[in-house]
Amino acid sequence: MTDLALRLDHVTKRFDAFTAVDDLSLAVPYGSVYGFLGPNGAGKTTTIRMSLSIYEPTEGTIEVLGKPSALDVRQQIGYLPEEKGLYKKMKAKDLIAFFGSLRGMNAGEAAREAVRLLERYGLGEHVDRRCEALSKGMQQKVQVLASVVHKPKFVILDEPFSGLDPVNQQVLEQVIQDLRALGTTIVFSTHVMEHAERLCDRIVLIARGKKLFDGTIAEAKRSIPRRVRIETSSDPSALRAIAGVTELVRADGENRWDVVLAEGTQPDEVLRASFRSGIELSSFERRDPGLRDVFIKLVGSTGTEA
Amino acid sequence: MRYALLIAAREFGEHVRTRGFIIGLLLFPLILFASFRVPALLEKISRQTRVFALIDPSGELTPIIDAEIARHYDDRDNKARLEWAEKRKKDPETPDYAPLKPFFARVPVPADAAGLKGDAAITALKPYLVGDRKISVNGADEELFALVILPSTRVLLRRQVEYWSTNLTDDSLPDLVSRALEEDLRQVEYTEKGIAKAEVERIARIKVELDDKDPRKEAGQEDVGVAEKARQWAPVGFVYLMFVAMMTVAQMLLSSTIEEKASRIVEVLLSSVTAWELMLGKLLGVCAVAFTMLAAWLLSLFVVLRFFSGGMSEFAGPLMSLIFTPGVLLPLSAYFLLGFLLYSSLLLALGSLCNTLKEAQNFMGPVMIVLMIPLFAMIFVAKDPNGPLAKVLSWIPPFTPFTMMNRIAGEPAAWEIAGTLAMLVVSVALMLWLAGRIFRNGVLRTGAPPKLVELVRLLRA
Repeated sequence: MTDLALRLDHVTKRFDAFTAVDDLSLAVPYGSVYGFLGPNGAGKTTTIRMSLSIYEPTEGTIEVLGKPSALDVRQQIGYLPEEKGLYKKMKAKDLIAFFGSLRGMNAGEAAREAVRLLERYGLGEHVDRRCEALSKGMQQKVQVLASVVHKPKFVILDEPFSGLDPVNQQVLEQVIQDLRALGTTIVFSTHVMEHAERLCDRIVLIARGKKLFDGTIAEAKRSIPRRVRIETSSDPSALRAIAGVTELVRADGENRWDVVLAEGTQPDEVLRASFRSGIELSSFERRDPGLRDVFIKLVGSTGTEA
Repeated sequence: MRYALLIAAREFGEHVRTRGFIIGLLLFPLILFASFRVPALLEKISRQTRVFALIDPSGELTPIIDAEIARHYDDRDNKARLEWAEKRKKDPETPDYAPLKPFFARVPVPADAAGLKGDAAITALKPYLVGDRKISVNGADEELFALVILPSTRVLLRRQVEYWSTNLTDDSLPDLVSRALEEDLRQVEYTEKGIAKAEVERIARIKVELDDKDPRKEAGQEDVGVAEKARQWAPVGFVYLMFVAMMTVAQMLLSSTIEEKASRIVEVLLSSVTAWELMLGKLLGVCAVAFTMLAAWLLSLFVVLRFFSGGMSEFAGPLMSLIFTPGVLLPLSAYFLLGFLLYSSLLLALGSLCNTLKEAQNFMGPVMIVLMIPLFAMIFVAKDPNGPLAKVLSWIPPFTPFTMMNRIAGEPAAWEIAGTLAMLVVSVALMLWLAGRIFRNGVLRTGAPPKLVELVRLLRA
């Protein structure tokens, strides 16, 4: 018995000549929230589909909740695909209950849980409405609920935030937090770094089917140098001489510069050095790298595919 | 299997709740009832007396036409009287005989055109013919249906009779007029040639009637009645029924598969069930829809034939005895089910390759052509249910269900039924296998439908 909810071992998926996922290995521990990051066409969705046994990998092996196929444990898995659609003619509660029963719930239990969830997430009045009569945001909520109605152990959400307005994004974050509180393992893909930063314990960054980074958010941030942004009318080139400054680049704006620091260098050292060299600073700003910077740096180096 | 059944149940629920399905279900018995009852009723209600005028300068021909009209009326009236008498005998409560409304009534030329000839008469009567003016008949205003202008002498009769009317489709009045005049001309010729008319009529009435016998029947009871002929034709109705059912359900299958594909619901489904379970579920779902439809139709056929067939009752008995005997109903159902599975799994596979209904229509074209063949052959197969065409078509799987259903009243050999059923089972299994492979690969595809070469690759994948 493994302690991993999802394990990919040297997995490759080729569609004819095109390699969508290239020798990807991954380990998602139980109870973690794992972010799949990467540009469009990176192979995130293909990886997710293989994890769900919708596609068979060309090479490599996959284990989901300790089983070789997700269908063996379908009762314990929840999935929200990237492109969201519903049976338009079905009532909201029937739709959620239908997907619940496909995940092994009995009909009565699924129906009760569907109503409870709709009420819990603010759709109590729409229980009996057909999906086509709901607003787009509501439809997406219904779909999210349909993917978790059976209280899965492991949930995979493919771009769950795309197309949601800020209010509904918050509701979805709430759903994810609620699931996390239940100890559910969650994998979600996104290109919105803020969501990943707020929600994930660990991330994997994929581009062109290859893994570029795999680790915690803190590790990711540490992987790129910190920066300090200064504004000065004097010439800052003296800062280049300081040990711990690896680069000095002009930032946007007339008198602004970014000082790139080597690992371990504290930002105040730039401040002190400026005083010493008589560089007059009109502003000084620590710029800790965000996930976005990590993303741009890592992905930018491999190039992207639209 | 549980998952396939869940899919099937949802599919079934969604389709039977559509307005189209419910309307179709109710429409069939209504149409059936109407086809038995309405023509007679319509005839009674809508058939108004056609009022026409005659311009007959010689005055010699009017009595001839009047006599023909009277004869025509008497024929109908006598027949109706006999039917009424029969009915009265069976049911003494039957109301008294009401004489029929005449089909045709000659009226005198209206006063303002009386005595006019040629163009002047036509100009005066045109407003009546086009409906601008009404003609008064027994105090009621009537439309002048037609005007017949006869020549001044019998000699011109063969060329110079004019028939004026705005109605170009109802031939009954002109037929009647020409019949009367032709008869008169013949009469003249008979007289000139010295032939006795009664003799000619007697000769003209000579007829040879064939006594239809069926050698399969018991000695002494080989006579074949109208009803038995109807029985031979009844399966044509079933072939047609199956065709209609196929068409209805094909639409459902394609649209539901494409909906699931386009909305990507299929992805969620495929994370819960295998492609095979999904396909099987959808097939079972539409099968249940088709059988609900068929059962409802058969039930309404039974009810209508049993209780409301009215004047058609002489057909109703043999029809019922044909359909509702296990020897027919069972193979009929088996062919229906297998034929249905064969085509619906094909359609499902095609649907899985398309993203829009429009794309699907392109695939539907060839399928439609294949489906049309047994429909075209239907009449010939019914005429010769055990002939070479019927036998050959029976063994070509896409045509087997239609052809065998068509032949069922012709009592094909038992080995033929068993053999074609066995062949169909194998064909269905093969088709399901193929469809399963196409479906599995096709249903997640996006982009244009594959070309034939790609399709072959999909099958191998």
